[in-house]
Amino acid sequence: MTDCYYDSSYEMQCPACKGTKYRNPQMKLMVNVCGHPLCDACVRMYFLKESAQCPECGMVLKRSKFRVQVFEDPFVEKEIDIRRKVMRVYNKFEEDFETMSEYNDYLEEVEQIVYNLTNDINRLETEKKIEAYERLHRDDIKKNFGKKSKADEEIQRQLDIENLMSEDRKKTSQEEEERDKILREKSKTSLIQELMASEGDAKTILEDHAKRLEEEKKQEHIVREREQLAKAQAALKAKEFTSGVKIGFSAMINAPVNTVKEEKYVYQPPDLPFTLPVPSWDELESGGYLNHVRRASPQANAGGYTEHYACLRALQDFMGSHNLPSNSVTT
Amino acid sequence: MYGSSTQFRNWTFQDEKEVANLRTQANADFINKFGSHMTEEEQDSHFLNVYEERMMVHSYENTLKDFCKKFRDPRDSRIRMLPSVMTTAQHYFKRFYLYNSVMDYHPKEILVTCVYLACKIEEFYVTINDFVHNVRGDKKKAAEIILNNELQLTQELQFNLIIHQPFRPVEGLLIDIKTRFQKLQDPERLRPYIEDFLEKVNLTDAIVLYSPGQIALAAVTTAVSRLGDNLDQYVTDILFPGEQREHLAVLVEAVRKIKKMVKNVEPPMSDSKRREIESKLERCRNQQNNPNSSQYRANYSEIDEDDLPIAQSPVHEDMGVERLRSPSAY
Repeated sequence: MTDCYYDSSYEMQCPACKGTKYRNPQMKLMVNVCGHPLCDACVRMYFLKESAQCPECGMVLKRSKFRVQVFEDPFVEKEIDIRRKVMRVYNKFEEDFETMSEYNDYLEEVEQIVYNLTNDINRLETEKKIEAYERLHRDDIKKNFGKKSKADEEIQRQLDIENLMSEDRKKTSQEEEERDKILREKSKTSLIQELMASEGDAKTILEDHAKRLEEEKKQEHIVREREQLAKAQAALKAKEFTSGVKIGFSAMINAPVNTVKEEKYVYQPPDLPFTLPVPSWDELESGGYLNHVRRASPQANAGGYTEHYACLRALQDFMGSHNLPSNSVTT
Repeated sequence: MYGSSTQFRNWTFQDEKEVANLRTQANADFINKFGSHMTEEEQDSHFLNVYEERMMVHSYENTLKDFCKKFRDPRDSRIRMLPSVMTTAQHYFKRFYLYNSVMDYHPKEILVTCVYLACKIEEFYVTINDFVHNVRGDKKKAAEIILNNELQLTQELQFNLIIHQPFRPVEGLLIDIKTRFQKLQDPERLRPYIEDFLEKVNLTDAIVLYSPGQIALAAVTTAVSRLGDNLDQYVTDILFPGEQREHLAVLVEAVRKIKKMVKNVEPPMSDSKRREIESKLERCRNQQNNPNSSQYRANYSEIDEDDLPIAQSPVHEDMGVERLRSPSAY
């Protein structure tokens, strides 16, 4: 039963002061660019000045760069940091490349750099490589800085559409509610008035009223359906005709999908060697072949099996396996 | 379908010459690999020649037959091995020594491995422990040898494990005879002769030269003639009506050859001759594949250690950054 009280985050420990989340529930682990975690108390203590050395690796860190550790593994945090830094330089998009394979090579290079930096492999060399790249492509980097890729734009646009649509829905439902309210009020007052004015039996008046209400409801339902239909048609038309920015891209709603062109599969019958003529399914019975095999049991029949299968298979196995040349097939 | 099977594509050869060439090649390859430093006379006296290899394989084919016939499930001695398992094992054994030399892999080891694999493929369930119960000698070692060789064997068979056996074609033929050729009295009495034939044909090269249908026809016609009857009319008039006559000659020729092969099947060689070749083989065989050699032991103990790297390496506390290699380093 101890499991109930156990939380894996209790295990979290600050490597500097050895405090744990269990003992100090307010404790927060922070990480910096080097990827070594420290608890917030330690950060405050070590970083009285703006910058100090990491107690683990000795790297000079800035206090302002500390942030709360989201992932359990500080290694991941480190990678995210490095990736962000690398991506600031390597900020090309798919559109900047002529072929897919070039783009793939580029992506692989980026991954390689990130991996090397996170795992401290050839750190100096890799950093030099980044610098060289930065110098070489300064203009491109500046141009692409802050630019969104096509896919991002598409997603943004879709989000806009969804927002618009949800607002629309909210509006219509609100309108409906209001209309309902008015109607109810109206029917109530009419009923009271009728009860006051008429001299007939109160019961029949009530019944009449209920009937009328139902009819009104029905009519309203029909009207509403018609409205919806009209709306749908309008939407369809809009999709087909307008070229406005907000509606006209309905054909592009889906994020770009790379379609690979491939040959369609065409069935080609296998080139089988010649076989001797085998009786057809029906001939098994009429030709008397079935008299020479064991009859299927009722249980087997219930399962869909008949003696035809075994008989035909044996015959085909004999007739079809003579290794005869197939070039002179008759029939 | 036999016509689309791997047996038809990869393991049915044109003629006896092609098969003989493969065997000569396997023998020559081994001698070139291990005897390149010797003169030709030395090679002749040290290594087995193709004929001796052939004799060994043949005598072990007989052993395989006896082994399968004597095989008993230790849990229930009434359970016998099915003839289909034996046929499959014979196919594997024959195929293996088309591309491998006897000197490379000793037939007595490949034999049991073939039977064990055939049991699996033909769905004749025995555990490895029950299986080695039928093997003479050290059971534990036998189990080890079988399991070590099993993968090697499947690889040498090019993973073509389905064997199309003549048993079902025989049934088909008998059904057809009973239906369309009622002149033949009581075809059921042919069965013991057919079984005998199908057992013998496994000892010949017919199984890698001819299709199961042809073997089935040969078996049935032989059985019929043993009873003093004949099927000629059935074959010429009913099986090949009218326009298919041109195929008749091919089939008749094949059947004639199969019959001849079965008739001429050599008896297993004498014990003294066999012992002589065995002792020669013991000297020239590939020691890396000999379970009694120190080389073999050394190889296997190495592999065993490689197999368990995780269990044996101490747990690393630190998430060893240096220990990780970049993906391109692999």
